[in-house]
Amino acid sequence: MAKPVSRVQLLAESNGQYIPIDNWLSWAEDQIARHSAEIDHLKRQSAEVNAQLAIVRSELQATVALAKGPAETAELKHRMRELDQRLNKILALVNDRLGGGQNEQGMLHHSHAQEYVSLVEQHVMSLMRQVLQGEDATPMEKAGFVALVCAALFDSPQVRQEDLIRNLGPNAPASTVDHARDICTRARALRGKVADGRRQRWRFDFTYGVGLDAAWQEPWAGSFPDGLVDFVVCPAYVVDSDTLLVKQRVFTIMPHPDKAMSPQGRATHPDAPAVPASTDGPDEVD
Amino acid sequence: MNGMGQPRVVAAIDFGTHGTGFAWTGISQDNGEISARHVSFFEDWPHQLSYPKTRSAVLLDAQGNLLSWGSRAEADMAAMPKGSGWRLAVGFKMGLRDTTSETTSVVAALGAQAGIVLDARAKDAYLLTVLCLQQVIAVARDHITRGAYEDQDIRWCLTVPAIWDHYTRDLLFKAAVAAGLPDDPDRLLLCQEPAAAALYCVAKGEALLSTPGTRFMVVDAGGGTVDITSFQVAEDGRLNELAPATGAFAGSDFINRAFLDDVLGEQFGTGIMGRIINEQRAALVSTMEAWERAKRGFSLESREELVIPLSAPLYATLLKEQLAGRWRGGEDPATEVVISRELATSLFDKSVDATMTHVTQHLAEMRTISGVTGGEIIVLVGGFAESPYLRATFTERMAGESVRVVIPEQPSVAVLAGAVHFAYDPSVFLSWRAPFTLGIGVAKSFEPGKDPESRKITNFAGRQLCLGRFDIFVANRDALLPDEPVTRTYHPIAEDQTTIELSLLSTARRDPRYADEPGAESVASVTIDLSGTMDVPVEEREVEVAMYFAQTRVRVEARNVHTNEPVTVDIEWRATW
Repeated sequence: MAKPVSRVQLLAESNGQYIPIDNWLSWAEDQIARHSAEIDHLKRQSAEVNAQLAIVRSELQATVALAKGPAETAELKHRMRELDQRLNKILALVNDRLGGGQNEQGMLHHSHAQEYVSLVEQHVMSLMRQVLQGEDATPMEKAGFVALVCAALFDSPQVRQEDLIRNLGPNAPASTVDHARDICTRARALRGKVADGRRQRWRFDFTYGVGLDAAWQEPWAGSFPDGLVDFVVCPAYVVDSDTLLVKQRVFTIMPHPDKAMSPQGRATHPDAPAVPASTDGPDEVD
Repeated sequence: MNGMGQPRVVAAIDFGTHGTGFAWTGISQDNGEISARHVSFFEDWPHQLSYPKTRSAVLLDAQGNLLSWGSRAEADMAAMPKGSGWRLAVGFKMGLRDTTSETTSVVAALGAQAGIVLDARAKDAYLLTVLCLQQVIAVARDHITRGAYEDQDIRWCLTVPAIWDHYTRDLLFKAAVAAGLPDDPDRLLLCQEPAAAALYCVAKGEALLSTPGTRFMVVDAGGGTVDITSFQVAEDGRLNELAPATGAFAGSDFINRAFLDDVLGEQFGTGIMGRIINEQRAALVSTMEAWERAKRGFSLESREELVIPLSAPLYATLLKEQLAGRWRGGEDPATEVVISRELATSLFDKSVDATMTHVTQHLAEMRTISGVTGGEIIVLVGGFAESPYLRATFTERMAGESVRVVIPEQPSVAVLAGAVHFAYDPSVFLSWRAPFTLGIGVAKSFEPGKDPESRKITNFAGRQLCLGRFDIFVANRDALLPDEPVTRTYHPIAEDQTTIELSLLSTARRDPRYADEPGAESVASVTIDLSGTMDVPVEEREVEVAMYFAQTRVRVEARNVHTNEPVTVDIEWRATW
């Protein structure tokens, strides 16, 4: 039996749009499921730390009570040193688990994020120049091509190499096809790296026809200044639940009264590149 | 601190020309082994994307009051009203160094990730450094003590370029104290950046760097400078500095300068670019970041041209210039700038050549000092070390030298992580090379035929002495052992002498004979009171002087042996070193 659909909608503060509450609930359930294991783990560690701190505290009190005369000084020093070492161990444990710092493995994502941007800026744009050379392409057409490639590279569980090559057209020179294959190889290698350690995702979702949100989006060159978001050129690089390492780059256009809004937050403008549907959840509702 | 005065946590701040970051680790038995040590990095700087560093930048009003700092300072700049006297200060770390020497020829270093041309000779570099460090330290302290640690538990470490002289290092120490760190050499350490990077490599399991006898060089190629130092692994695994640190202003900033002048200036006109730099700097930031990434992607094998996408603000600014008739380009500007492989190669080669010259010189000195040629390891770290072009060129040019080139996995965090390791256990460095000769001006036995008659005096016992001799405590390039002070004893010349004034001297020469010969300078003085021991026979009135040589500081302790009252010298290092 089909699941009943609620008509209740939420008003998203970020963009003023209404979102079906069912969509939001399934998104929220997914988020909770993702984080519940981590929360449980932290709770266990917190309990362990508290227990150890209680033991150290009581032993410290017992040690101080021992200090009745000079004869106990050596023993006292010895026990103090032991307790101090245990306290340091606990403090280091608290710091490691709850200190909020990032370990070296986690820091690798900053390198991966830079590698991702370089892949787009150097290789994808170079391919774009190769494909569009001599066509006097507009900034929007150029951005559209980059968007197409980025979608093929990052907007599905696997790199869609064949789709990308098909989009180059049947008469694409062999060197251009080789270039595209090389980009796919690089993207696969990068995706392999980002799969390690902190949870990572490519954020493609956006809201069509609104001003960009500078907190996580930035305009692509040639966009209309202070315009409305038309399409995503390249996705944001996000780690953990919502830590942004690279902003989403979008193409913005001049406001136009005739252009329809997409209810799903996907580009539907006729001039926009054909970008496949996202594998991500619904729009942000924070 | 615990009850025994030991820190419970160590924190390192990598205060860079372009960016500043911090990292820390708790002191515990589980963290004792360097290769297993868990270092925590901070990446949540305010007003920017998550990143391990924030900009070393401050935005000031006309009165010099701080308006904002870090990445926000750059962002705020765009909204500042024209002509109100505000200024954005960046790159002031470079200005801390003495500007009377070779730095004057360098001057216009470029903010590598900001596209900002700056004056490295900022007169108020010290004050700007204090302002910036105050904010960074506040964030670091707040974050570390938010968990389980107290402020007094922390031992801090600041990184310094190896080529900085003692004066500049001392200046940074004072700036850090003024910014809120403890005025205590045991709780505030300074660590040479390449030395820190060496520790990082040791921590990453580069086994040879812990093998006794190994000689290795660390080349820290950053934005503004290339810092080079070298070590030899002692029998106990600790490190002896081999050749004194050297370096040059040959970092990747010079390539950035060329990109601005030769590429953007050529394409859009130097007048327009000058106006953008002066009035719309923020519009350049993203483009310069893209250039930085392009640089890091460029390699010897690169067949493709370099593509640098213009940021939307820069593109929009160029369009405005065109509309205003100031740009004569016939068509709309392209959304990207393209640099041919040949031009990119020529830009890189200028900086790489300068780097290689210094590496070759340092390698020769390592070989002279050790008496062994070949088998050295060269560790390449720093932001510029991420450039495949530098890596490949480096490896290619070193191919005939029988050396092995090692590049750690994350060269850009090597200094920061390494500084944490240093703060955890500073004793890992066994000895340093003296960057100059240090001694005391005294009277020594007169040597006829050698010392001029004009210097001859006779003391209370009728002994002939030569005035103004340079008594060497440590000679330039000698090994300095931090744990072992160099000690001398002195006696008064005259019977009625109630004080002994000792003049601390320095010179670049290894074997100075007189305190007043060319190049020798007085750097400090110590006065020891003898009035309490005038009843002691004059030949028994003795003062003892001990010099302690830490990595970045020299402490002088003098005492009247009979009263045992110590005098510790607070040396004001001179900028001329």
